[in-house]
Amino acid sequence: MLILDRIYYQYNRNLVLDGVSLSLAPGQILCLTGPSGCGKTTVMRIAAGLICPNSGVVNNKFTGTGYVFQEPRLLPWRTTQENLAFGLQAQGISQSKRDRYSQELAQQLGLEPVLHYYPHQLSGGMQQRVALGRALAINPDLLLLDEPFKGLDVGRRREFQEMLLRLLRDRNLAACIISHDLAEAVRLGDRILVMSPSPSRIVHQWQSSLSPTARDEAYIYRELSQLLSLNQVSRCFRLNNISSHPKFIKNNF
Amino acid sequence: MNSTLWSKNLLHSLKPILPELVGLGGFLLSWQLGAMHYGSVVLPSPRETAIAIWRLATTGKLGDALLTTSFHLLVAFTLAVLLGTVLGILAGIKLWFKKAISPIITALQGIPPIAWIVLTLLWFGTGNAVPIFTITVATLPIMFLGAVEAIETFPTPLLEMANLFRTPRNMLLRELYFPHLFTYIFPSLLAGLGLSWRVAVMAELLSSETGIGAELNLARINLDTDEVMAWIAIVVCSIWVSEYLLLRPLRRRLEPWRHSQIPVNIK
Repeated sequence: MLILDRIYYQYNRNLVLDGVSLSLAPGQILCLTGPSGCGKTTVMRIAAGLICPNSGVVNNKFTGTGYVFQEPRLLPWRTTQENLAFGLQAQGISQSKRDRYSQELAQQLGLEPVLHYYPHQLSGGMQQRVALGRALAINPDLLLLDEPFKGLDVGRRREFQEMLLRLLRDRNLAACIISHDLAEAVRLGDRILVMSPSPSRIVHQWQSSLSPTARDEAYIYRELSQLLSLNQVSRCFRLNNISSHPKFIKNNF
Repeated sequence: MNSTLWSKNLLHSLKPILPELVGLGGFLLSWQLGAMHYGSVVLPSPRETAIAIWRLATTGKLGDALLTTSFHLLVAFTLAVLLGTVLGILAGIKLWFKKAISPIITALQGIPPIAWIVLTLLWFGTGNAVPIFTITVATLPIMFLGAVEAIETFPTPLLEMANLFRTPRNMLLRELYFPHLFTYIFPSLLAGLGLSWRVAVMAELLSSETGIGAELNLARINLDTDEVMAWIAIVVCSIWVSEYLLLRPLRRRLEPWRHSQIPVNIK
């Protein structure tokens, strides 16, 4: 169980998070969504313990937490195999065990042909898969993913999403996925939290009645249009509402 | 039939270094033309130079001089690399230290090596101390600046990633700090080595009785142009050897991930 309770966070005297609370149960997929700059990454970094909130409680009862950053963050001087095994190496696991395990992972992630390639030889999507594999290698029970599908074209995006869902189900992992794409969130999440910017608050919660694999396109579009018809959600995502934003009015009139 | 096959094989094996061979060939050709035009007293031909090198090698002069100069270089270059890198790392970590030491480094960079030679001749007299000191002082700023750059460009996102995995300190050093540092320090190593050779010859020429520079001076006094040319050629060959047979293979071994070409640093 991961619980964030009334998190406040200030950066350079600006209030970034204004009392954000969330909880994530084992095996559940939570999508954190909202427009760019609404503090999604900050929530994730606080959950991972990378930064401390100014006030509020972070309670992470999961035994192992894996983190996939927005950028792959691979070691440029190490091959796919060595990058996959980075976390295992940090735990002091022997070379032969590491090799065996990273080969297994590569098979599950379709990385076998590039096992001995260096990151600069891989495409962006491949690099992101290596980063996902590296996070999975340490056998976490919670996976935090910050915009994992960024920079992928539509086809690769779907392919990667399906692979991720399969891996999460097979390993019975809890996951928190950041996405600024509401449709993607409806496709993947058991639960969605919609965040609004400046100051960042959770303005809406959505719960799916179906498991991710049981959702068809019709279901996704129906739920999406229902979500967007809600005032508090559309205000976050719709551009034409910018004109009523206090900052916009102050700067332009 | 057999000979054409043989020459084909040779051509094939030389193909990867063709640009280098063309450059070298052009250089030798213009040297030969110059020698034919000005006469061997002013500019000895490549062949006469080669004969002179052979003579120096067989009389043992070459070995002695190379040994002495290599000794000067090894001691001074190691000192410069260690000192420069350590100071550079400190300056990269502590802004205060960087601000404090920067004027000194700039001054060191600005002082011509010849000034150091004059000064150290007064301090130490003739001997090994002058070339060693001068090479160290001349090369140190290059190593220092390389190390500062390395620390300032350190990829903190990678460090954050590594810390999430609770990476132990020694593994951080081995997997993160050293590879990154080496990437930035290597070009400085090349530049520093070229500079070291030039300064070494100059310092020996003016202050020593042994070493390549001293032999070069002796050849000048004897008006033996063949031998002067021979010593110059030996210096150039030594730089090639140290760069292509020592430093570059070292880099390939330590950085197999890097395929990009790095600029050749012989001036």
